[in-house]
Amino acid sequence: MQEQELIRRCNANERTAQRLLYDQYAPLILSICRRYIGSANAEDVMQDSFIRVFNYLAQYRGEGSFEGWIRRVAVNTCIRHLEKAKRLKVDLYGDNMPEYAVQPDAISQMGANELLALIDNIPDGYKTVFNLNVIEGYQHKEIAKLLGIEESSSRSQLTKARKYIQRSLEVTQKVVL
Amino acid sequence: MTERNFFREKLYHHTMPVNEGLWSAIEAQLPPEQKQKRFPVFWMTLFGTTLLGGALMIGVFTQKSVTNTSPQPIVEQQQVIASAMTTSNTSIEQDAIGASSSNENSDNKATTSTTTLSSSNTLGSGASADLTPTSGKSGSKRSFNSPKPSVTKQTNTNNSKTKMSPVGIITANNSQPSNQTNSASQASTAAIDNALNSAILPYRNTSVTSLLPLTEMNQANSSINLMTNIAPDPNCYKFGDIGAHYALSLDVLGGIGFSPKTYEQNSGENQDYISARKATEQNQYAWSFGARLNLHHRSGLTGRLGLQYTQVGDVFDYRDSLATQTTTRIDSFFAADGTFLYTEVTQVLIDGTLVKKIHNTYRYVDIPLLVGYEMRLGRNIVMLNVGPVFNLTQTHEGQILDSMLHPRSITPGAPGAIDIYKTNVGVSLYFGAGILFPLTDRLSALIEPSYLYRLSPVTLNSYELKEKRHYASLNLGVRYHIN
Repeated sequence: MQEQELIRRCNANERTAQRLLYDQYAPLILSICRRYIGSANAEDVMQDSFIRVFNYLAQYRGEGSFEGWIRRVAVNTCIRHLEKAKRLKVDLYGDNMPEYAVQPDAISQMGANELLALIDNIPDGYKTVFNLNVIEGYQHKEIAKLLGIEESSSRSQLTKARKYIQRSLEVTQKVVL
Repeated sequence: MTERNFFREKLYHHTMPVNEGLWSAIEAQLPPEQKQKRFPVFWMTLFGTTLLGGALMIGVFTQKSVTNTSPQPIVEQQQVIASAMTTSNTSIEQDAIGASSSNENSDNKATTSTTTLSSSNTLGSGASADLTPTSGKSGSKRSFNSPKPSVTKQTNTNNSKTKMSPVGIITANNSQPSNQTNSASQASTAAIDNALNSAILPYRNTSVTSLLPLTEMNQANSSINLMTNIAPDPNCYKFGDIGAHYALSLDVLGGIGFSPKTYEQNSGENQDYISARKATEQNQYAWSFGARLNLHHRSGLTGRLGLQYTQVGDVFDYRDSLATQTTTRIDSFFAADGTFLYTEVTQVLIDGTLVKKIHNTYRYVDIPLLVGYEMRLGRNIVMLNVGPVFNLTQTHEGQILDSMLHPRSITPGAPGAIDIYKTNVGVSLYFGAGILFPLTDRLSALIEPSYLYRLSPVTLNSYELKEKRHYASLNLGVRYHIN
């Protein structure tokens, strides 16, 4: 079935089409939610994301890929969830952690699940900015608007996220050694 | 040289296996799947077709029965009637003919000028019937106790002496004029007919049969019923053709219907907008009523001019699950002595679901100018109508999605309203097929399924879509036959 036809039928509230859409995108959405929320509540947020997708589908105008649109809905849902859970605490004062450069070689050798575990260790606020910027490709300006923070805060949080990752990598290396 | 983003490479398209039970949880929170409420066009069409078919069949059968009672069979039926009513000893014919021609029925004592049909019928009970209270008196005493005489036999033997009932006289005079019938008898035919008409018609359904024995009464009843069929009032529109070349009638009709919509892209690619419009607007109801004046020609062609009001209702069902509302909170702080210190402004973002359910209304006033053809089928009239319908005005109120998929008002004058609908739709085409059932001499019931095809879109040319709203309906009404 063509994607446009699938969307049209989903808009008409046809359950079969909605199930097809779910089957097609659920693994991806779950992975996104897992990155932002963590494994504990990822499935709940994924459900919420799909309900929003189906309710909001009529407003998809066909501009850009549908996958991009559905990813955006999922990301927004994750952010709303974090806001409600008050997990998006902006660390205005920061810490005095030295800035480390993330070692590309170490990361390149890690698998997806290892990277996910690495991201999980980052505090939610930093993790969100990291996910948005590094993985989703949002600009700091967009992140600032999305999270309701200053653009500079977005940059600093990304830096801190990188520090966390670097520190985690060092700890891992020490453990391995 | 840009560093490779391994996180993005490995995680952007990363997927995870999903538990089977999750879909059930999602499905439970989705709005229940509704079988699309389609207007029962099929059933209405079937109903209309069945109605028309049934009426046609009734018409055909009625026509057959009328055909069976064409002039020749009429004679036979009248003869049957005659045989049922004839007595062996007396006959009114004898009275009449004898009176006018002084023939060999010597036992008649009527005077020459009389067309007396009154008789003293001797039944077993001794009851009597005075069929025509005209001048003169009858000298014929008639007994209805002898059912044997047959008209055929009588007419073959001697027409002037035929022992027949008054109806039999009609038979004798009209169907088999005998050479032996004298000129006086012929001359008296008109007088006899007049007398018979005035004498028999009032008693068709009542006194004649009541005087007969049971078996004869049954025969007479059936014959009289047939006679009723074969003796229509030629002045009644239900049986005769239009007397003049033209006739006028007035239809008042109304009914429920369905307004199917079509959307076409006016410019560019807007399939998503079309889908969104279709998804958010559902037909709820449609009805119309109106009147039209009909000018009928003898040929069956009819011109119709009328006025029709149509109202269509839609439901605009909109849901925005990512809606947000921003409120600004201003807190002012003062010192203990009332000195203003500072103000703190906080913006609160509330996200939620915006649900809108608006009842949209579209109204049309049209002038149908139709050409019809009407065909008589038995007592009923079948008609086909086609022609242009000129829109006088179109009004609209409610909300729809605009091209940016935001809900906007379409009510003229409302805040933020968009102006996309015409105030005049122009010319449409009307197709209808109907049937008339006579109720009284002046009134007929009317059933007419119809379809109004809008040639022009109801939206302005500047709008991104071409929206057409047609109208199918099942009209019920009455026709008043003015002349």
